[in-house]
Amino acid sequence: MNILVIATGTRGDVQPRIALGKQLLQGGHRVIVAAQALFSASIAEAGLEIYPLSGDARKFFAGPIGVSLRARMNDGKEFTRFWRAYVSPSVRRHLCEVLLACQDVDAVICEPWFQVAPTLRQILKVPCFVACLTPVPSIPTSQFVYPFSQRLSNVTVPAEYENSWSDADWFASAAFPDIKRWRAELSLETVEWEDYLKLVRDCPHLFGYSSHVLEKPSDWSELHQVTGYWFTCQDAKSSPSEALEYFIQAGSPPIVMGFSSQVCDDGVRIRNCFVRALRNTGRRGILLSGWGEVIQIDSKDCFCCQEAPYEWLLPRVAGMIHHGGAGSVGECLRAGAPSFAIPQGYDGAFWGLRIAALGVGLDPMPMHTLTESRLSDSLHRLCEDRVLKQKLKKVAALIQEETRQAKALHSIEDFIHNGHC
Amino acid sequence: MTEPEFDKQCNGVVSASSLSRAEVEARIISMVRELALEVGHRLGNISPQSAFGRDLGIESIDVINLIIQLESIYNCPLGFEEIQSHEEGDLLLEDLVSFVCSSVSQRRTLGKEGARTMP
Repeated sequence: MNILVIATGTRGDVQPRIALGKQLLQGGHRVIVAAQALFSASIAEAGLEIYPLSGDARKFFAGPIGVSLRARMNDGKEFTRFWRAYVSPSVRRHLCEVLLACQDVDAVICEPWFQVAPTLRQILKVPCFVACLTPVPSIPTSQFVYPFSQRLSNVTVPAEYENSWSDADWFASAAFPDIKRWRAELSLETVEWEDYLKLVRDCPHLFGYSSHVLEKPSDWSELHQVTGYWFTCQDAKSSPSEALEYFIQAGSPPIVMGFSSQVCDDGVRIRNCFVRALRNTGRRGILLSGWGEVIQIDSKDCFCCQEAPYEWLLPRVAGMIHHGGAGSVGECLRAGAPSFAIPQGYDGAFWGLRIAALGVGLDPMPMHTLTESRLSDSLHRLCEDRVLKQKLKKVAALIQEETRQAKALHSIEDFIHNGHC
Repeated sequence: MTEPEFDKQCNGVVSASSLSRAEVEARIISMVRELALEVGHRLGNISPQSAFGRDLGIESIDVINLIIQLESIYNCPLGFEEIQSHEEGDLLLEDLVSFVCSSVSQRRTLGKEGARTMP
């Protein structure tokens, strides 16, 4: 089959979709990834074809637009205004491009944020899947809290879980006016959000995280499946950078700090605290600037670079401090690296709390509570907590086994074979 | 709920009462120069008639980011969507200046009317 994978968003959105594409390729399918030029090297490296999309995710997510959008997650009305004012033009251009990319394909793997799947299915008359890296606002449950809730730490009782999803609708429907306009241009019938949402839920959804970390809730339908993480292969033997490899080998295993594509609002203070906490605890560190500002630090015990492949890096380190992104969390678990989150918005606090609740990570540290001494304590615990390490070892083994099963590939093939989509 | 007070100067937010077209224009020009420097291309003369794309080589995502920064500087909702629907094609610098000035002054009028209806 010819399968198109739509891969938009940050590194955390795109990287796992490339890995999913590779799983499909290994299953004997031809895979084309529709993505921005920024990711073409990663796509080529995975042996997949690229369909180029316009735009620059880094300028979007690391620029004022991305940072402002993230900051508006606690105010649905303002989020919606901001989306209409600044995000909609890019969404509408994207919708037109995606339709062109879909010519002559037998199945499409969509992203969940613009709710494009039901419309593509109607036009193309081929199976359309939704690939999710985290639970999405369009599919609520009574069994865990809404991951994008900004009042997450206040929702502690299961009885409150269902209620927390009342905030999900405005996020789920953010792009719906753009979809409506696109449908009108394509001369498709008018549809209201409530009905469209049912069509969205009728599309098979694959969740690329581990059921050992977050079980599939019993109130989700058979169409919604948790398949295990979509990881980049760990077999890469050559090091990504000689200088980094030299640094790692020159002393005790370092602790990594990196927020991937999320720009930290208070980056200078956080990084200074990290460097001082390393000194206080006699540890070595690696600072990954990601899509944030490039960092230069004058310390022989702290190595700075923009990025490094986590599948190579994390098995070689003592632990990691991340932003709680689903992908970063998954990579730490697979590598058995102790970690905790300094959440930067979106679902970061959700995954940060999740690994702490499972005992495979320390409690998340909200930015406003972060001090040099608290960070020093946490660095010490990351390296010394034996119970944490034992639990991590078990979970890492389960996750590696789950990854080998390539459940996503089998789900997709089963859905198509049984005509469920 | 009260409208934010526009005549108060706080946290680098520019007050509407002191807003002049020349100030807005100068500010946008300096932001454009800074942006060009970041992207690494040399800019010659910038005039009100310069088009963002054709003359200044600025991509639309950068124009969007510029407008979002103006939104917080002038503490006034602006919107790329709105300005695009006014001006077909390549946006001119003077169009953006006019858009900012009229948005801020309309918002200010609204604020005052809102204040009048307060008990």
